[in-house]
Amino acid sequence: MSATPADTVSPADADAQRRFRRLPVVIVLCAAWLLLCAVLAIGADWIAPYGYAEQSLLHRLQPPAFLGGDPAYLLGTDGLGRDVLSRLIFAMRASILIAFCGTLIGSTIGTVLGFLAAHFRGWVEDAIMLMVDFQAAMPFLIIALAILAFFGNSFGLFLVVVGFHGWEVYARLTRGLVLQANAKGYAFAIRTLGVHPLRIYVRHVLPNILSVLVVQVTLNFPEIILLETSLSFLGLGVQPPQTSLGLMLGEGRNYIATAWWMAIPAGIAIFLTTLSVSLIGDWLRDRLDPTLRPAEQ
Amino acid sequence: MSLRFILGKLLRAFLTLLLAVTFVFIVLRMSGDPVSQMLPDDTPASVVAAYRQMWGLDRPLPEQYARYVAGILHGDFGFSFRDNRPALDVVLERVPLSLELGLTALALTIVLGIGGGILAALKRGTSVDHATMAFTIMGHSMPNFFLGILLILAFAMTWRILPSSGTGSWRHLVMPAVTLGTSYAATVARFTRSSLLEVLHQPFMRTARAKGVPFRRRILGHALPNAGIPIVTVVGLRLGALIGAAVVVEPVFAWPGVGQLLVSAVAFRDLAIVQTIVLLIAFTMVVVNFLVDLTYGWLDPRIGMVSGEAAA
Repeated sequence: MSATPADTVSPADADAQRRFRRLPVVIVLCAAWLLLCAVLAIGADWIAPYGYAEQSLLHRLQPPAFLGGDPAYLLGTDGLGRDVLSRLIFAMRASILIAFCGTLIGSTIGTVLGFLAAHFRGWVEDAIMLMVDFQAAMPFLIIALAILAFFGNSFGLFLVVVGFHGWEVYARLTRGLVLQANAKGYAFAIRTLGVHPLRIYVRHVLPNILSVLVVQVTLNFPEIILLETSLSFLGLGVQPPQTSLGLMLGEGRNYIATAWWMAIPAGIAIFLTTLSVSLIGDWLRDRLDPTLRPAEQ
Repeated sequence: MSLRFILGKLLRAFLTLLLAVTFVFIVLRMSGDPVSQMLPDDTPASVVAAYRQMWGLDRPLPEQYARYVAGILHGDFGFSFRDNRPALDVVLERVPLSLELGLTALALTIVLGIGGGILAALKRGTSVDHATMAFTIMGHSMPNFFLGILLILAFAMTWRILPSSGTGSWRHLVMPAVTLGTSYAATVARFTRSSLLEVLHQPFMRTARAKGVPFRRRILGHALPNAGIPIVTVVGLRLGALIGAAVVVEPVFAWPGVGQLLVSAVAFRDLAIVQTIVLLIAFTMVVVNFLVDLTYGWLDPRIGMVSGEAAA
């Protein structure tokens, strides 16, 4: 690509522009929704018109404003006269925060175990891979339910349990990638220089395998949202008066015949969030891994 | 398929089961003293000690573990304090209904998922393909409990053509099975499509075409068996997800299966029931994984010949 003298845009800028122009509309919409979620989650205290537990028994089960309800309650009110829109905003904050922390916990534990398995090999690797196989064989929801049953529900425990979801995928992925990387010239070259293994892994190997792990995060994040909302929906996750998107759906389910607006907005919010992260993840994967293109396009 | 391959897989299955039993034992012992949880706070110390002795809780941990494993092997999964019956009996009663729901959802998945995936791969780039892909992405992102509520709202409350809950006829089965099968079918369709697409571009497909093999035989006889391994893998591996999903979907439709029992047992902390279900599911998954491994060896004889590792 040669730039004409009249063309004042540098090649790097042109490249960036071309990429931006090729950004599909769907991806932009997904990113916009996630941005909105982030803004709502961070600014919930200022944005929400009412508190999430604020009741007004005189205004119970008001329909949304666009269905002829009170304009003070845009999405209507629930069975205790709480504003659905405000609760939705706080619920989004809770669900996204839990999914965020959960992803952080699972990816960190999994990645570290993957590194350990690849570094030590031998029985350490065997033990870790046996745990990985066991975890992969058991439906995680069942394990989560068992732990919550045995230990009783508390928010901290719930967060940790949700966080463990998907660790085995990171561990297996990281182990494979690190084994590959260790066999490559660059890792060998640094090792012969006498650099400490920890430094090799953190400074050299990790940056090289990060893109694959990031794609895995986009696959794992929606699953964690679905896990948290499922457990909360069943009444075994986030406990009232706290709220989460799953809990809102669970509470709204009892009113579904008379006041569908209690449940539907929370369901749509979950759906849009998981859909957005998945679509962005697919798009990222296509960009980062050219080998998938012949099959996927 | 070599005997060594099968034995290796059996050993693996046994280890996984042992790990599941150990996991339940550790969690059970870590979660507190069952005696102090069951008896009132003001129970005299002597009574507590008598109970501890009766249940063997005063023994060293390794002995407790050995007794626990022996009990499981003899079918002793503890007593459900809500039903006042052996937990295993309570759980087994619910199994047929869960199987009915699960197998219907599985059949739906295989027809819709594999059929849709094949269709999308053959009609690649057309509106059929786009519609299938849109379905897979939506189906994967849709929380099953939300889908269930939407279906109830539409078919049970608005149009009143299907019952919203309970069991008894095929009409009761429709909505739970669709709810349960949708996300599973979406995953299977996606995998079928991409693995079939990969095979369709292989040189042997071109050779078959050049030889004049009819279209139908090229797809059914050449492409599908070669695309089979990833499809079998995803159907087998995602079965765990189907079981997990059933736990959420059953309560939505008041379907009195194992999933609903598990949720209520967790809520009431009926630990004997919980451990029975966890071990039952672990056993099911181990059997399924074993069968998937054997299917690999059957689909691709090379896997069974070389060593167990090739299938991983």
